[in-house]
Amino acid sequence: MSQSSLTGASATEVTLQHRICEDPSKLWERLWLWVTDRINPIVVKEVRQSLKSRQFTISFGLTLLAAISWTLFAVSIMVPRIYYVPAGLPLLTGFFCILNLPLMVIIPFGAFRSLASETEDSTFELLSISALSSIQIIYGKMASAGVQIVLFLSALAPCIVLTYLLRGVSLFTILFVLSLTLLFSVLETALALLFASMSRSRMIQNLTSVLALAGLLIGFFAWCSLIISILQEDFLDQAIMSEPGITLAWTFAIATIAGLLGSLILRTASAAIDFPSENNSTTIRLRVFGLVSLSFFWAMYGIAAIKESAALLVLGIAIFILLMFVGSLVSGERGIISPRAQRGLPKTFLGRVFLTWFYPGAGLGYVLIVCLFGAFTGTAAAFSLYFGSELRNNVSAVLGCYLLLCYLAIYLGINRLIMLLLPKELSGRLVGSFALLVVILLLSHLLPLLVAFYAANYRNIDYTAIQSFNIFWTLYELDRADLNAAQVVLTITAIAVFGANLILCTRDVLLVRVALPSRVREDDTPVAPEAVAQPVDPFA
Amino acid sequence: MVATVHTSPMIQLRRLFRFFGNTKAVNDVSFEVLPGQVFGYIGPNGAGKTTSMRILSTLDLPDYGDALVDGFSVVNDPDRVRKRLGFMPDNFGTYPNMNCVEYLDFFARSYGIVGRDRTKALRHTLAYTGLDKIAEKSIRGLSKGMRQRLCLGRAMIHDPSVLILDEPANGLDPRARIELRHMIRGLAAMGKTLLVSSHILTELGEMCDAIGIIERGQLIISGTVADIKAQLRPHIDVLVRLIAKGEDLGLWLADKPGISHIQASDLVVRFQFASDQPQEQAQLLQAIVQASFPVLEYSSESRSLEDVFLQITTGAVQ
Ligand SMILES: Nc1ncnc2c1ncn2[C@@H]1O[C@H](COP(=O)(O)OP(=O)(O)O)[C@@H](O)[C@H]1O
Ligand SMILES: [Mg+2]
Repeated sequence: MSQSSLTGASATEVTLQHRICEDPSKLWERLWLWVTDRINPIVVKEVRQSLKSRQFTISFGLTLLAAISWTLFAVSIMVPRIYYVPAGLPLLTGFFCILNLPLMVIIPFGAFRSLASETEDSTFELLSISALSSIQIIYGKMASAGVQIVLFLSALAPCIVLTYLLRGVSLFTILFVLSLTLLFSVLETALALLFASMSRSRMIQNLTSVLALAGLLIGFFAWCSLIISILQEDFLDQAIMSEPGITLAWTFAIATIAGLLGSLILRTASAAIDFPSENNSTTIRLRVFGLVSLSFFWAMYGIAAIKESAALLVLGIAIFILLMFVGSLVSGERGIISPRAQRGLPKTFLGRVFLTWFYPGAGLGYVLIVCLFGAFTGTAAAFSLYFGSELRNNVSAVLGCYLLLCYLAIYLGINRLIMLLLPKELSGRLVGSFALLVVILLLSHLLPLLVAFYAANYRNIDYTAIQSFNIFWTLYELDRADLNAAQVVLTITAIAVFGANLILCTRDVLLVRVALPSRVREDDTPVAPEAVAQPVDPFA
Repeated sequence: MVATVHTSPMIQLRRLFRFFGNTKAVNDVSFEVLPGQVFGYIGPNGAGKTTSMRILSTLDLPDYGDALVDGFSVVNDPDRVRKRLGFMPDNFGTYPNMNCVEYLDFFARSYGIVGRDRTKALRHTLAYTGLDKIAEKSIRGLSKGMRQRLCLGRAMIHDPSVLILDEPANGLDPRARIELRHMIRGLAAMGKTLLVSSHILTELGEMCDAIGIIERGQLIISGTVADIKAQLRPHIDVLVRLIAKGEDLGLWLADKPGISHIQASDLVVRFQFASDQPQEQAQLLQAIVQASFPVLEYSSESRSLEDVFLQITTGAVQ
């Protein structure tokens, strides 16, 4: 290429070009190429971009500046005492608050903008037709955020070491709070990515970006105050001293549940941007299954330790809320298994009995979710039978779980039946299905209340069977009123709705695996199949 | 790259439908493009070119029907289609804080090209599209022509066997248009199959092996350029009424040059005359009268495909 035609080309520019598109000759260059080839391309791109971007430089510089100023300020205030009184705690609290701003707000919001701007600049479509899978795109965005987290963390690491040297905070507390902060930051980033992936439309994205920013700021302040109180109370140190086993178990429980939750969020985000005929249901449902089983396992461990069956009900309600949310999204799925997904259907009879429920389609997902909660209720009942009189409030917790099971079957089932009537190619089905569930819940709670008020001439009313569908009131009356009528009403309705849904998804259950098209098989077989040397068993 | 020795079509649209509400963007479109061909996809704005090309590039799903790229369905095997296909959309997305090589390098990585293969692909693409002189320039400052080249470079970085270019010549000056035409012919000479869209027939005429004209979601005509040219040649439909001897006139006309499609009865003769020059028409009429046929009425009507095409390419937007 002609040097003269390069307007104002300097030598550095030419070598820069060498770096990207000339073959590397030096050993370290070859090594570097080998390493970057194995990194997600999006990370390589975003690091390259952020090296040139002003926003990153400014936020990084400001964080450093804030940390240095805080150190100088705090030390100068405490200067006479610092020699004989432990001074680590106030300093550490300040550093965590400084670190939280990038970790809780700037980085998650940056990830949100990064995915949303792919749509705005119409680069997303270019990316989606490349060989990158949608989960690779999401992981790439996540990993880029991870790189930034590490950078901010390493910038503040010397300050945090300083607080340890100033005494007053134990190493365990520092590490625990730091890991919890990291975990929360990663989960927030994953949630931000999920938000960004939910909609392709400009208007909704503008709306969600305002919501996301507001949510992140709330998260920031909540986390800062939580950290301040954790550090002030120093109950962490007491806990690890008095009951190290249980403390470690709780730590482990939080880590595993958060990890699975993060994975579920990222998979959902990836499914939202994936090609419609791809089967994402299986991976998502396996994670929901894992999450429910795991939280159940840890809660049982906790209950066995503290012998309080109200915890069972609290846990049941938590899983109920999660499943209602997931279930409303599942109802929004198209009710069909695409021919592409049909290629992977289980082949054996047992596989079809147990695994078909993990395949795409609103009906199958509904059955899976109800069965999952049914299994939870059954195990809870067995558990309370086994522990028997050792548990307090034994019966009502199991009854509560049973009623929740009926509610799950009824509300999700009705939601799905109504979604069946809507056209399949309706855009924004997931959001619509969630909105529909909210409407159904509002109606089923408000209408009986109005009727009862009207019948009682707008005076105070008591709980009667007509309020059976009111989740809150029924649970509230669990230990107070006679719930026999409500039980009968709910059981019959639940069986009817579940049965109707089961009948309507028989078509999906009966689907069998389809063969690969001949062109695909042709593509998978090598052009000239070479004879593969089979190892011969000398003792045969 | 995947070697394709079979001569089955590289691109195949099979009764493709895509509706947006009441807009029938693509309404029963079928055509085929053979390996190594350049297919011109021509139609006015809003005809449905972009919609069908997006379906082919696995960016959208058809409501009904299927499209195959190298034998793979865009609905059921999008992953295999994507490996073989490069798409250049009409609006071109870029990233901030990036120059041309970095942009191409990123997409090469996204297609899983690693190590020396990538540096080679980058050098080849930069040289082919003539971007090597501005490789270090920021994308935001590029001219329209250079941006189109970069977009083409991105579409061909993974050496796909099928390229789909959506209005690549749109907004280019005549010189850039000629260069683009050379690049497209060069790609075809490498054995690639191209589908190129435009709303101007003459923009594509010379470089295409086959063309299809689409209007309001329907393919009006498709075939090789020679076929279409023959159909587009100006001609007029002539109707002659006589008192008698109509059949004789039919026979008399049969061996005259430029006359075809003769339908003769005793009193009425219809035929096509391959010219729209009034001079030649007058001469023909004179010859008929001189041959003492009892002509009562002579009328002609110009209904060439050119007219149809002019009509559809100069307005008629949905
Ligand atoms: N996403 C969409 N939503 C609604 N209508 C659309 C959408 N995309 C295209 N259309 C409509 O489909 C028709 C065909 O559009 P298009 O394929 O872009 O035409 P062309 O590329 O030939 O100009 C137009 O009437 C357009 O308004
Ligand atoms: Mg268009």
